[in-house]
Amino acid sequence: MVKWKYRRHTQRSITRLCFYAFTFVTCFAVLFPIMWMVVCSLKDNREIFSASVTLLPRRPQWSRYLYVLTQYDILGVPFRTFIYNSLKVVASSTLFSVVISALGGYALSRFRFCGRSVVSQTILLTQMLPATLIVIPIYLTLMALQVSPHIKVGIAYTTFGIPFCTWMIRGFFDSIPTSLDEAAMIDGCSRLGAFVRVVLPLACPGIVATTIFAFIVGWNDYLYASLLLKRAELWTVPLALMGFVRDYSVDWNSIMACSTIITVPVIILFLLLQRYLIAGLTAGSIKG
Amino acid sequence: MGNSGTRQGRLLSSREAKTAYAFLLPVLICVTAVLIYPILKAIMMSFQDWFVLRASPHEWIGIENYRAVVGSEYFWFSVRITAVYVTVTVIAKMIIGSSLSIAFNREFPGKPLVLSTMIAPWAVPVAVGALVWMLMLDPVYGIVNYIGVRLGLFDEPVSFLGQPGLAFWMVIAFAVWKGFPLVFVMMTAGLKSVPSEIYEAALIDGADGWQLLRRVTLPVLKPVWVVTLLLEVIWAIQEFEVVYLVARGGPARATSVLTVYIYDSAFQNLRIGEASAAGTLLLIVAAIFTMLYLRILKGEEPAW
Repeated sequence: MVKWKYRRHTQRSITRLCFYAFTFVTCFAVLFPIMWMVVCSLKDNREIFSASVTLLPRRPQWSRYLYVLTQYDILGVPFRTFIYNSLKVVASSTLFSVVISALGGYALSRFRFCGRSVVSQTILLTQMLPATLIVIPIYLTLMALQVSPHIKVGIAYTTFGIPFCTWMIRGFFDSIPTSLDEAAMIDGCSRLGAFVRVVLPLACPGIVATTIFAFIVGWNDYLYASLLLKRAELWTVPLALMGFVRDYSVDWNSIMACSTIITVPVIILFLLLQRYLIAGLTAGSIKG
Repeated sequence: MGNSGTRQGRLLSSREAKTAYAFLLPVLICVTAVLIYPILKAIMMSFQDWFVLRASPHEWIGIENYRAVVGSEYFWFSVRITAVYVTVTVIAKMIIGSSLSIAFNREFPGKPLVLSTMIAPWAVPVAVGALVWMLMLDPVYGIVNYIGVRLGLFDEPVSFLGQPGLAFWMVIAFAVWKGFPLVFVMMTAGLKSVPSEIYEAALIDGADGWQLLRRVTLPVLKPVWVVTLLLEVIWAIQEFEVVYLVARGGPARATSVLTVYIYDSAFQNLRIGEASAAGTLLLIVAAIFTMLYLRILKGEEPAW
């Protein structure tokens, strides 16, 4: 009996060990490209080109981060300008998308009206339209518009975020009982008042998830920026990173440092808000 | 939600509708102006003579653009590699994403950390990922070549992104790395919706791990799986940046999937009419899968 128990115990620990080995290997493989980016950003110039590739930098060059933020330039434009451009465009497009989608999502969640299902189906459908097809007329239309190129890109990002954000935020509003808004309205709030003072604070996790989503749409975009932003000093970060390749520059350390600077904050944001993001994402696409 | 059906609800409904449209107006304006109008315009352009260097008016030329597209060898090549790209990436993402979500669907120390790791590639901007891919695959100082040569997998450094056949597979690898987290997330959420009582009941009935997987987990996961599969297909058909930024459609057009074909004909060759025609064909394919998706979401079994 004791022996049997013992054998069973070892068997279990072997299974557990295998599971942990599997987990470790998987995590390592998935993270490797990201780790490699960070490692390369810390290597010195000689090390990155030397014949023997080292897995870890011999002397980590932390000062490179400061260098790329203050002095490094791509095609003659300082890297911080690109960060500034990206933040400017994406922050405004995120703000507009979230406000607009929150209003729309609230209407779809709370009101019964003629055309409700048509509207919500249409919003879902626009998510499925190929961006490469839409980009052609949008490009021609926006090119004719007499506004600054950054505003054009901002308009594009705002709108591309809206269908999914509306869908996502509506899922969050659906989970808040309608009796709460009704109570607020009986107490003298207007519709808008009930929405702003009661529902919105409760849907805070949803708003956060939506904000991240809207942010990612703009932050990652290359297609629209590449067509609408011609001059290098207007470029956003993804354009600048790709411009580096066109530049035939070989300063891989610095470009990896730039990549790290713009990626790591996003990853941290994702990790902190993982739960909300997952809830929002799955509410939007699975439950319908 | 809410008050339709009750008497009060019906009395309020016309005022309600006005408020509803007021709330929805900004969404409707944006969606119409930047999504619906452009799509209609693009479809219209596909029947017009739209060579940018020729001045307007753009004459109606019937199906001339479509004829040009369908007659081009390059288009059919793009269709073929798009088919391979979509099939391979979607299958790989689905298998990797769902098996990992099943593997990690248990309590173990460090679980949040592992889940976070699994979604990290998703948070990496495409341009950054593409650059890292280029650096890792570089024939001179790339880590992949270094390890490959060291282990004797190949004798001399290989130019992974410089050879047509290899470049295509490297793009696929990138797409899978970047895209499997979404499947993982969907599946993990799907598994969460399984009440633990089902597992407990099955365990009491003496089911072993394998039986649990086959008889409980997989059947429960199936609806989520089907929906995710369709979404992934719809998105993979339209994928542009993941493919374009790693290899720019080259070398020798080897990674020029349909979206890259459209981009090139519109913005490199300036044949906007033909690009719109090819885009419209792409739209039709995407629409077919979207119909399927919507039907399944509504709970109907597709009638085939």
